[in-house]
Amino acid sequence: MNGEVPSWEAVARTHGRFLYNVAYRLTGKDDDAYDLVQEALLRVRKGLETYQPGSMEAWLSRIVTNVFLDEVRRKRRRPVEVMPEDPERLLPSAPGADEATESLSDDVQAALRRLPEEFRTAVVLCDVVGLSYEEIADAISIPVGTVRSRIHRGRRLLRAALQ
Amino acid sequence: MSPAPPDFGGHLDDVLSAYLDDELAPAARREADAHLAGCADCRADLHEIGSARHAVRILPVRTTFRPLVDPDWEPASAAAHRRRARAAWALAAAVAAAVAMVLPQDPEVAPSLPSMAGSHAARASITGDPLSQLAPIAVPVRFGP
Repeated sequence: MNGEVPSWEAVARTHGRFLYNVAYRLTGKDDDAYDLVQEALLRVRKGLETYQPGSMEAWLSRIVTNVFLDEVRRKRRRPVEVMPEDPERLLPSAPGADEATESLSDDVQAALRRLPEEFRTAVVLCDVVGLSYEEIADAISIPVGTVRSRIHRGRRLLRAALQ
Repeated sequence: MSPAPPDFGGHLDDVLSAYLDDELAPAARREADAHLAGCADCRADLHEIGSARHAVRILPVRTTFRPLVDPDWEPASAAAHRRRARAAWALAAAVAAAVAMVLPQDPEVAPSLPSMAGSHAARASITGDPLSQLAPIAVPVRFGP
């Protein structure tokens, strides 16, 4: 490893907060975000040797997003059986007593979480991380035109949910 | 001759997001501006999409107090040191076990309490010692006359 590539520990220490924020906006749950970050950091450890010095946050966004999308695909292949006694899973968007005083950011996060994962990923990478369309296309291996369409449709759904 | 301006074919739709994100080429942006100037629907749509975009962009940074670095994780050099230490301890334990097997053992040196009681009871049974066989566990305490 040359001197320009940081150690894994340094990446985790310096960019852990950034990773967690992106993971939370993608998953909408603290526990899921934590697990996502752990898996992402594992991939960072394995992939650090191949890291090309540049935008560390773009590189980390790519990793955490792909961990998220891999998990989404895995769940689609093997959907989790919903237990009838678990109302949170049956009605993820139903407001509970604790949410009566939720702030606007909670409303936005709830609407974000209800977006289809592909739209949510594009919106988070654009509006939370701040990547360009080309960087997003590169991160999740889709054409730039598809990025534009997903961002727009995601925003339209968000707007409808927040009205 | 300059390239033909992009034909949006009706309303701007997802061009609006690209417009807001400054992702349009200059010619496309000029075309979008021209369209917006004459299309109230697209102006309203631009406002709606811009609101959603803004709402996500101002979300606060979410943090956690849980340690993100696995506390069990250690650098490869430390892990190797721990493996060597474990191997040394395992070797020492194996040597101790081998020595214990070689040394002569005398089972009478320190018999356990249950085995002492068992052997005494067996002898009492064979010899017919009535004191041993009939000894009460506890002597009842009597009060008064």
